[in-house]
Amino acid sequence: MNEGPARVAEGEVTVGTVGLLVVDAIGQLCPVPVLRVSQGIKQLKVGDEMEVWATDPGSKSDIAAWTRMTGNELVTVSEEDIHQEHRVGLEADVERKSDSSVHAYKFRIRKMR
Amino acid sequence: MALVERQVRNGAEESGKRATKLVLVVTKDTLDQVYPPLILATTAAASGLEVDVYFTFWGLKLLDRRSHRKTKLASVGNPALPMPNILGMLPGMTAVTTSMMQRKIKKYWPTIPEMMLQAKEMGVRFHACSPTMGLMGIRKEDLIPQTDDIVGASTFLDWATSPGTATIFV
Repeated sequence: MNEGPARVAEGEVTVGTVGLLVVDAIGQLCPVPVLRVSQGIKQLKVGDEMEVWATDPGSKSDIAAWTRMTGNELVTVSEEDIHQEHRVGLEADVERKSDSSVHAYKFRIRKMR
Repeated sequence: MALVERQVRNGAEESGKRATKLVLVVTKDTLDQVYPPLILATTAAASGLEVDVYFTFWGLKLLDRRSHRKTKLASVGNPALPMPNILGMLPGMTAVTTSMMQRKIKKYWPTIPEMMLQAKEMGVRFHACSPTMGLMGIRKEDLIPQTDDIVGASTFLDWATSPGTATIFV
């Protein structure tokens, strides 16, 4: 397991310790992850990157589609099991699972325009 | 997963022809018929599309300040609800199904008025259907300030048929 996202308050985008913008959309449903990504990218300069975390199964396809439509670059997508301390903004449906970790997508997006 | 890859390829091949404008028609004023077009409108604006939403028939109630905050979920004629269909006719059932659905929705999405404001901030334009206003006795003063203009079928068709436009009717 990787280190996981820098902890951010629900609904916020923050700049992580290494100056990377981290967007947390864990536990959120479409269209919230994409709306947060589009808000977040406005804070970046061309060439900068952001990291996005989401659990909505549609987000894997949706965020890729968003980058194509907006002309930005989806650098990497990976799937990670994240633990309790990273489960910011998780909703009851996810919490109900007895498993202590949750499956999430981690996206790296580069602003191209 | 193959599907996603195929879409990626198609997207790349056809990117030259992609629509840059989206026109949505909202004809209903129930939770299940309003969230989908508002989700598409905000997502489209977030994806760089120009978005026009045409509110007609019951959909116009969303632009009427008197009914703007009163969108409900129908308890009658909706066999997908998790209860015997016949109960839908009981007095007060619409309020019950509406509040059940609103409680679920609240966990994930803004309310409809909030989402409409969010869409406006993102540049989405709202248009009121002029014949519906006449039909339902809605006056210009009744419209919420987020309404951009009042137009009829020809104006709508002018947008819907202009190059690079995709139109969705809800």
